[in-house]
Amino acid sequence: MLLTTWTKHPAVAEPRYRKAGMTEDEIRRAFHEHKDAVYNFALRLTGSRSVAEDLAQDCFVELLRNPSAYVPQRGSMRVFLIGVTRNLVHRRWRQERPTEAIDDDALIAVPDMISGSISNHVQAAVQSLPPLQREAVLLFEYQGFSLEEIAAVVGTDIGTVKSRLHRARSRLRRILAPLRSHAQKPQ
Amino acid sequence: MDPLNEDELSEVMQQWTPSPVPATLEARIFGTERKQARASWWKRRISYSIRISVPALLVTVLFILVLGVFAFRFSRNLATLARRPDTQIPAGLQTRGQPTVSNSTPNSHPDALRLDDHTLAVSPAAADRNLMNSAQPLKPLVGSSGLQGTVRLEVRIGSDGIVTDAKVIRGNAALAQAAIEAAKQRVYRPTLLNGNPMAVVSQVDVTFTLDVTLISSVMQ
Repeated sequence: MLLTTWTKHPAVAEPRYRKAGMTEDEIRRAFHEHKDAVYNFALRLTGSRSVAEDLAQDCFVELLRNPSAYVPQRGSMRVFLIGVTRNLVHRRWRQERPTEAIDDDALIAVPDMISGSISNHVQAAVQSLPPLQREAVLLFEYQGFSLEEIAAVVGTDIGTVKSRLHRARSRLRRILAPLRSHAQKPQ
Repeated sequence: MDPLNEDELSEVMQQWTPSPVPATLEARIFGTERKQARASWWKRRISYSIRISVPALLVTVLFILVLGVFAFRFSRNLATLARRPDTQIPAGLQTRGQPTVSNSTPNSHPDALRLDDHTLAVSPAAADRNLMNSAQPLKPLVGSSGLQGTVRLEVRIGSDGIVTDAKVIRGNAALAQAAIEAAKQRVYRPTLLNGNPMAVVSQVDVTFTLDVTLISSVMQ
């Protein structure tokens, strides 16, 4: 009887569902809905396809392991997943450069705007931003998050987010000035 | 060159097109999770076992050990009791005026114990019931020195009911000889075992007072 009880115990049979939380189907649906946002955020933040793929995998695997980690009352699934991805990126940065602090105003070389596509130019310009400014810009411009949502993701206050965004966009406006002619005309 | 305004900046930035998600990502996520779940299933089994089953097993083993110790000690006591032939002569009698141990084995009688093929040890009270000359006044004994006291004797009664031997167990040494002579005056009915007369070993108290001497059995 002890053996039967042991093998059928939920902790052994279905470890993912020890606590109430999302089912695997729900997580799979969330994956299909948010995979582009998560992957591209990781790609734009790190600049590496392989790293971005690893991070996106880690993000959803983490959700599979802890299905009760997402609480709908705290925010949308998109905000939750992007927040997890952002934390994973920072963890990787700390592992790669344990002695360096993640500065929000580190000097980055201005990219060469002579050759390459506009997409490459913009990518290079964004990559030249300090990490904390870079993530604020990505969340604002490409994820469409509000200032409150950005503050929740990065774990700071709205004032700091505004400051970072302001400095980042000032920098980008100068860097991307040569591409003015490529700005799409409003219809 | 003038920097871009906010709108121009947003328009230029939107030209950084998103990249397609690798096709293997879904398999990596859900396939990996299943593999990791299978791989760690044994880990969870073992950790669960350690949390639940091992303490239960330890308690069970301890319980069995304790039971085993008690059973071993109990069985040793039983073996010891079974081996010992000599127990104390029990007190009390169920019958009066009848030869003791007539149709039963002596060791099953509450007041008798078989010492050998011809001898029984009986309780003083049981021997006293076979006493034939208790009703007759005995020769009074007076402590020659005026001493009082009780002398306990072990007496051997022959198969004919005559006291053949008496030895002092305890008491005043000055009264010992007088006590032995008094005990040898006693005559008993023969004790029968399955119809055969048996010699008997028992104990007798001889009490000396200043005026009257009483011979009585050890009362328990």
